[in-house]
Amino acid sequence: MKKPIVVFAVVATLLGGYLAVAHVSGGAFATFGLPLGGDRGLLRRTALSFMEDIQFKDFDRAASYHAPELVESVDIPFLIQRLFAVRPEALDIMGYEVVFAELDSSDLRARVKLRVRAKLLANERIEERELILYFYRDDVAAPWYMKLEDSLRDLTPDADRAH
Amino acid sequence: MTRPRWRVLAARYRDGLFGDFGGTFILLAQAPLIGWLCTVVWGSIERDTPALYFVLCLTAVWFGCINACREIVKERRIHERERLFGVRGRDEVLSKAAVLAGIGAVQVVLLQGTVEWQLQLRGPMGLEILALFGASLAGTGLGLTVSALASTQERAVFAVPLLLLPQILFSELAIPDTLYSDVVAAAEKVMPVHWAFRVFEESAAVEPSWLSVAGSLAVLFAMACALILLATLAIVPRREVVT
Repeated sequence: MKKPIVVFAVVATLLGGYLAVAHVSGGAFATFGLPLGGDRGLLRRTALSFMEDIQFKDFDRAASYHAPELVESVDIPFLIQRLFAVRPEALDIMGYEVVFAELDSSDLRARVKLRVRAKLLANERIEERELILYFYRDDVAAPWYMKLEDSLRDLTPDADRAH
Repeated sequence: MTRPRWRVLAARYRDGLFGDFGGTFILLAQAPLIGWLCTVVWGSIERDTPALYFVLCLTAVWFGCINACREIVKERRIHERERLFGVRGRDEVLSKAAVLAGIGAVQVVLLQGTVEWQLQLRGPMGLEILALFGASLAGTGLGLTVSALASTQERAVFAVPLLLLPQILFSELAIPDTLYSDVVAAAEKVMPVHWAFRVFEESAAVEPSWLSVAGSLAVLFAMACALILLATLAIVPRREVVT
């Protein structure tokens, strides 16, 4: 009777310790879907969600991480074309992972570095690229917005540009 | 039902080891400290490189070797006396290897965890921890062999660099593998660091060959078992120990 309790206590302590470390590290370790890691954890999850949207070519949703007034102006396919020098439809994003996520001293700006592995369908070549996503917020209680529009083409002055 | 003799010896050894809280703390604290130093160096370029993988693998072998190199020789007198009552060398080596494997496992988790905290490495973390554990276990085997052969604790410690430096010399860190002579290429194959490094390098590749990863892991653990077996053979001759 005593042994199962001891085993349970040890397992619970190890699991609790692991989750505590995962939280303090800002989600650097697997959190099994739990919302751990504070702001850095949230940014990691947002960045991964953004990459998943790109992987499945859901560019409208990928643009939705920007401030509401900018959502219409961002051009995700252009980012892909610039990053991999191929059209989005000729690209198979195979995998991606967060290298690190960090906040500045004011806690109002953040950046998330990603590693993206993709196959260029035209020549069957697999390439790896690194990408940094920048985020900002107006105050510590405000939501985070992506700041990708700086590196993207504004659709307004060149709306007819073909990808 | 009586417990196997090696488990009784392991329990005694574990109690003795963990009874020295300061020593255990230093043993375990060095892993995150070295991991942190790695993040300081590789954090400046914000990415992992093969050199980082090599340092991690070498550190794991180093940990195993240092942990084990004094452990048999310092208790050799006790063992020689217990041998008169039927305690066999393999029980002695197995008891040490089991406890040191546990310590090595904690060390490599702390080492890899500290690096991953700051810098996500390419390749699956679990697989890399397994490779580091294999390297640590092989290092433990090397250390136990030295410990079983040495006549004093000092000599055992002095022999450790002779085991660890070849890990660096016979590696791609010294010269590119395309320039290896046959001797160097053959020597590299018997270095535990080489096989752990191959796991890291292959699992980090753009197109990993998981078969090659599995093969390297198998070689690494086979090497660890062989070294522990070698330590068992080395403890067989009776030896006078200077304490």
